[in-house]
Amino acid sequence: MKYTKSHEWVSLQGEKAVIGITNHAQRELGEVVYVDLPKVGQQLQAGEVAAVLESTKAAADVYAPVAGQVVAVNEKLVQDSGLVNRAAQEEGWLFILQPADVQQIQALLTEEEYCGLCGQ
Amino acid sequence: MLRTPFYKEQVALGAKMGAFADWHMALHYTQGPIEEHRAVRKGAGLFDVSHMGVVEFTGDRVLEALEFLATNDCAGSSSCRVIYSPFCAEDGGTLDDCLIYLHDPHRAWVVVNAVNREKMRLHFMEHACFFDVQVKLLEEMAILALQGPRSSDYLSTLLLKKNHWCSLGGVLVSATGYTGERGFELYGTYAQLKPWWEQFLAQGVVPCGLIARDSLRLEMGYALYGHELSPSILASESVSAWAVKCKKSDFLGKKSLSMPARRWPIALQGPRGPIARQGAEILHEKGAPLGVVTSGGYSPSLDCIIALGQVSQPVALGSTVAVIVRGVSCPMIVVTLPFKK
Repeated sequence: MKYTKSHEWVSLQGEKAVIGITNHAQRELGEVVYVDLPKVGQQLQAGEVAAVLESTKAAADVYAPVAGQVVAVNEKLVQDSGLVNRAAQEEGWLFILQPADVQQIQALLTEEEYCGLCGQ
Repeated sequence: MLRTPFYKEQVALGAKMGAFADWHMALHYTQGPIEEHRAVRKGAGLFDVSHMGVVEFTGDRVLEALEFLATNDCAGSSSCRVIYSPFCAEDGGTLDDCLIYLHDPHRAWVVVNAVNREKMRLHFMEHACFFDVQVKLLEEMAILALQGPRSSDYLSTLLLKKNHWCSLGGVLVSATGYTGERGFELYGTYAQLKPWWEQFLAQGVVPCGLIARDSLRLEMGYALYGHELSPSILASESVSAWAVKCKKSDFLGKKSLSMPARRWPIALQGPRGPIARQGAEILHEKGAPLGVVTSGGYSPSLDCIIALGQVSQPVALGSTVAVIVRGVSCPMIVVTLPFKK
């Protein structure tokens, strides 16, 4: 698993990248009441806003860690947005990208580097 | 940053702390704000609201001073009734919305919002001298709010009528609250209130933070200062207009507040989706600008999105308006208050 400074995680599964927010991020965000997911087929640039998580406190942007095309979104979150809080790094994943360049994922942060950033 | 006297207790309970108007406050505890909201609607919740200021008025003409400064009728306060009132400036803009407690004809408390403590203290001092009244912020006062349909299981005294107050062993207890549920507010020093805090929690009352406090008042359509009320909002054009009694003899802002309304409060409801927050534009279905959202959020009781706003023309109940959230037009329906019926 790789991480970004903006608290996303990326898990490369075959050629596809599964993306979600970290446990640290969901704790900071608070209870998620609605998830605005990207559309399947949408093209995203690295760093572009891919999704928005509405919590009781605020709306938080989720960024595409690398450029690619959205091939799937987590439909479960439509009815059960709390899944993001309960299993942020497992079943609470947000969307799946077909990355334009898989190498870009290697350049992201390791778990150690990410935890260092969060002061954990 | 300021801390209430119950800061340590809240941290020990696992509160997620955050900043609110210069104060370090509990935003929520371990169950999360939605569970806390539900606890207040179904059982009982406990809030520390000691960040609010209690300003004491003393003198011979206290009631007269209050009648001049407040927009609401204060005469009822003489029978242990708590009065809610906006306090306005000459131009009708709202300086704060407060609760008034008249202890006796020579002593009263005005409970002000945390963000307005100093502003209101100075405002009161400025005007109090005309009535020969002394004004003092009671720094030692702590305030707890026990709220929920089961709250009288935990504070059993009380044949205390709604919106009335009484003294209970040196602590002032009023049957008031800002959640829409039956409940009590307790005023005393930290030493006096700490045993109540401990006892309520030991008996199973759920500790609740500011996020739940906000979602509860929003479901009722109650004003939050800085959102539904502000110096640029006339109290007579807000959700608190009912507490502006223009038939009263002279009071601060009377002339401006008596003018025909040019703006109106509005209550909107929409399906679960992007949340319309303060500042979001409200448009007619066909696109003409109508106004702006003053507060919005998710309603746990109704499982939908609700919002309060201010609009420049009255809009028919049941009609659909468009609220712009992050560039996307979200339809919402105009409803009556409270949202939670």
